Amino acid sequence: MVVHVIMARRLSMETNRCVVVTLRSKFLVFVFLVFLISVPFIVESYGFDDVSVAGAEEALGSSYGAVLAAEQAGANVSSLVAQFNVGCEYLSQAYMWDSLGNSENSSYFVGLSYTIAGDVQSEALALKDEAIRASGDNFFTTTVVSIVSIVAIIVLSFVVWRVFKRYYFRRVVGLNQGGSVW
Amino acid sequence: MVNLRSYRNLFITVTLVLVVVAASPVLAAVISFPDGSEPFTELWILDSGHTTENYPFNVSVGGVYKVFVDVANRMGGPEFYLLQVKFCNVSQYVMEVGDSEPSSLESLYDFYFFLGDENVWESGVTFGFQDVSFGEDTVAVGSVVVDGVVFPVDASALWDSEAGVFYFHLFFELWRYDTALQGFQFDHRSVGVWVNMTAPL
Repeated sequence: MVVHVIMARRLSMETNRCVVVTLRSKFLVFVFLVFLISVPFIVESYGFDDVSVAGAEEALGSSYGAVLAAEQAGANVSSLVAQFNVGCEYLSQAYMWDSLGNSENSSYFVGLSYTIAGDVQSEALALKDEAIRASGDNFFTTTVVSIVSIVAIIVLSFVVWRVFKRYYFRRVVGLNQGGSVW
Repeated sequence: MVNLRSYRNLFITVTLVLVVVAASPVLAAVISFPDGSEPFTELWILDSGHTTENYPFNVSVGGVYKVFVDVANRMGGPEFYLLQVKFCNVSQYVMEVGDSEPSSLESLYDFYFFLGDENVWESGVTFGFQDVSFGEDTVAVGSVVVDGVVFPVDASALWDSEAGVFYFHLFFELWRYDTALQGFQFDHRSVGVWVNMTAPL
């Protein structure tokens, strides 16, 4: 009888656990579906339609900051110059069409400029990381080589000094033992 | 005769010099010395033949004129520049144009460009004029054409009886991006050409 009660309780607990797992799975599926549905709205809200000409200029300014940081980290940014200048040309066009009241053309060039600004920024960040890593490796190698060289110089100098001192006492002073210099 | 103590001093000196030489690559990486040179940007304008002798002066409606604008970056690093094309008459020039402050005149065209250190940017700029009306002693310019694009302007000039001309000024203002302020700042540089508006024959 007791065994039956225990088995019934276990069965009940297993059933509850299954229900919880099923609910959790359904909740995760629900969250995933909500995310999928909301993606187009998120993309649209951050799309080029909301980016003004000033926004594109700001984006290129941020890209310039990233390029500058990469250059200061020791990266070769010459590959980004041509790409950046294409973005600049698009921005000039965007401002021109904006001043002439053609918002359609202006938006088109804003979008192009904004895309290039993003590309340049991500490439500049990658170049910066690479430069920092290379600089760190280079500094480590230089430090190790310098330390090894310094130790070698000191040891060699000491050995040469010992040999010279022995030579000095034998040949110049005519003694077999060193003096009291060291 | 040189004694052993002198030799010892010589050995120590030579060893220390060699140690400093061996440590110099690391010291060079750690210690940085300030660059004594002052960073600056050059801005200049040339005529269509890349000289300074034949700048367009006598202009008229329908004519197309060309100048070259050059910017040289001596800032010690890459820079993000903005070159604004502006147009004004004499009184606006006296009131507005200078090296200390940018003019408040509206820009006709904006050249954005990115320039590496010690590099030179050059652009040929063509310009012309439309909607020009001549009065008894005034000229009003309604449009300026820059690189084939027509920009409306509102500029008029009085007859300069001393020089015998209607003076207008087409000029270029240089701006440089400041990462700290996150915007373009006037670089205190502008160049331009004075033109005399003449009636078409």
